[in-house]
Amino acid sequence: MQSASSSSSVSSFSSNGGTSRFASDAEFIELRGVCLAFGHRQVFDGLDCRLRKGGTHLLLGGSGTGKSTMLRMIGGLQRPDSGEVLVAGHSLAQKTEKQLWPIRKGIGMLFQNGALLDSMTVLENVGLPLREHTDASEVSIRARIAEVLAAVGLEDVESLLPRELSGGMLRRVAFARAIVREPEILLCDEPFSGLDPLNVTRIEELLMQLNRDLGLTIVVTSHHMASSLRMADQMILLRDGGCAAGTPEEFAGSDDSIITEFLGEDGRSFLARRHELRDRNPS
Amino acid sequence: MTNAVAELGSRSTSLIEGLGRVANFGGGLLASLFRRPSRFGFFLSALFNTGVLSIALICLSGFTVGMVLGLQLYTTLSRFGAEEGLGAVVGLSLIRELGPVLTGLLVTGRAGSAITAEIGAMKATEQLDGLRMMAIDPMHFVAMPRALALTLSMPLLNALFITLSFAGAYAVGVTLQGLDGGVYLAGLENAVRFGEDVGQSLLKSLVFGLLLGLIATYKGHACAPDAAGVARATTSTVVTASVCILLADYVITALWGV
Repeated sequence: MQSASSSSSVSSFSSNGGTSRFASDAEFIELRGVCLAFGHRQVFDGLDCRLRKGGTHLLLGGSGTGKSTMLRMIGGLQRPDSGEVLVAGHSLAQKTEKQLWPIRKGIGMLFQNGALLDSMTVLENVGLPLREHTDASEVSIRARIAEVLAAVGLEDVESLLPRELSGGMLRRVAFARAIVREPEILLCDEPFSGLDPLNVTRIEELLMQLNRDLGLTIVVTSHHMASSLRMADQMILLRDGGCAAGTPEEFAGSDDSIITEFLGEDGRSFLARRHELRDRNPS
Repeated sequence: MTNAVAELGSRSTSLIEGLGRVANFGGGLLASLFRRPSRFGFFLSALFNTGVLSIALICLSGFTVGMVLGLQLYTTLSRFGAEEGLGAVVGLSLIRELGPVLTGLLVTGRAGSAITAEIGAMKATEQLDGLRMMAIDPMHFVAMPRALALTLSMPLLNALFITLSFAGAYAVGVTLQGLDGGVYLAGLENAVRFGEDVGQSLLKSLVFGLLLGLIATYKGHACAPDAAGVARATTSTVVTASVCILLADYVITALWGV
């Protein structure tokens, strides 16, 4: 059941006493000379990339350029053939699964197909990270679940199984699960795909609010350019095994044919709007 | 010739690598058995799926096997005027060999393949990766309860299979062929020794359950994350587990002493 309310607020649910799970504030996420091949296909060939703490970073690129793979590497699900992936100063490449758990507790990930456990209800799926990693009471867990579900525009879905949800609802439940523990890093693989315009705006506002209020570092892959340009602090175009990075303004103003093609009309209107704002308020 | 030797070497290496991976997975399963939380709820759910939902199949198959045994053995024994030995022969053959082996093969086809397909589908739809990203060990959350349920349900299903087979043989030998019921039951009671025969049967079914649990969960975890990969893993579970059950049956029989 979709909520008619357009409010998308989500309050703080501090399960770790409000302290950072990550000690280092330096280059928060860093990929150094990363090489990765699947068979004969070289996806990354010496990729260097730095993502700032508290930023919203948008990954762009054609199919097969490694956007989802880059998210998986930041989450420690994919190891590079060579090079280093650092999250808050921790190098992930040499860590065992068990050593990755403390790092992953600070990361929320929205998978492209949701990755909800199909034998569990929405309530059990969204509450799973809380039940596994916190001592919170059942009452506060249920309240928190209701809160995040309301924030993504869902009500009265707690008892449903994932197969009983539409594609858009399923993605929003998966999004709710990714943010329920208030991670410090949120990795979103195509968060807007399959959503109607109302819910695209809702999720976009929610992401911006999480970034603004809680200082989440957000890494998003998306082909929804209008939303992405509004949200992003940094845009990263993956191509030829490496990347090009810049601000949305730099990308929108770029004369690189691939960037122009990616941003399309949305890039031009974004730039026009920025110029208009600057003309109105030069300071 | 060089190619053939290279191929043989490569296959041998992959076989040893594969055995190493299975042993590593088995060690992980064993370790996760003692980790908190106990996952008792998931274990009960898996026990229901593997055990309770197999009861109808086991009962029907057990009764049918007993009927066939009763008919074949009564006909053969009566040629030598030894039909009163029906209870003893049925009892020993079912308890020592047919019960655990046939139960193992039936549970492999019904529950083992289902577990591989379920875990394989979870892998293909990134549910296992989703668990890993929530810092939840899929081995502890998904594989361990299912492997434990298979291991513990096998002896119980074996006992059920044997009981129903006795009833099937009784129905044919006594009710249809006219053998005295008391003679059938007395032969059964006198021939079967609890410690040796029933103990061997329970040990075999426990080992078969353990093997099936390990193979079914490992194949699900190790499958290629697509539809064809899940299908291959499911087939492989049935074939590998069936062969392992037959081999283990021989080894236990030989070690125990016939």
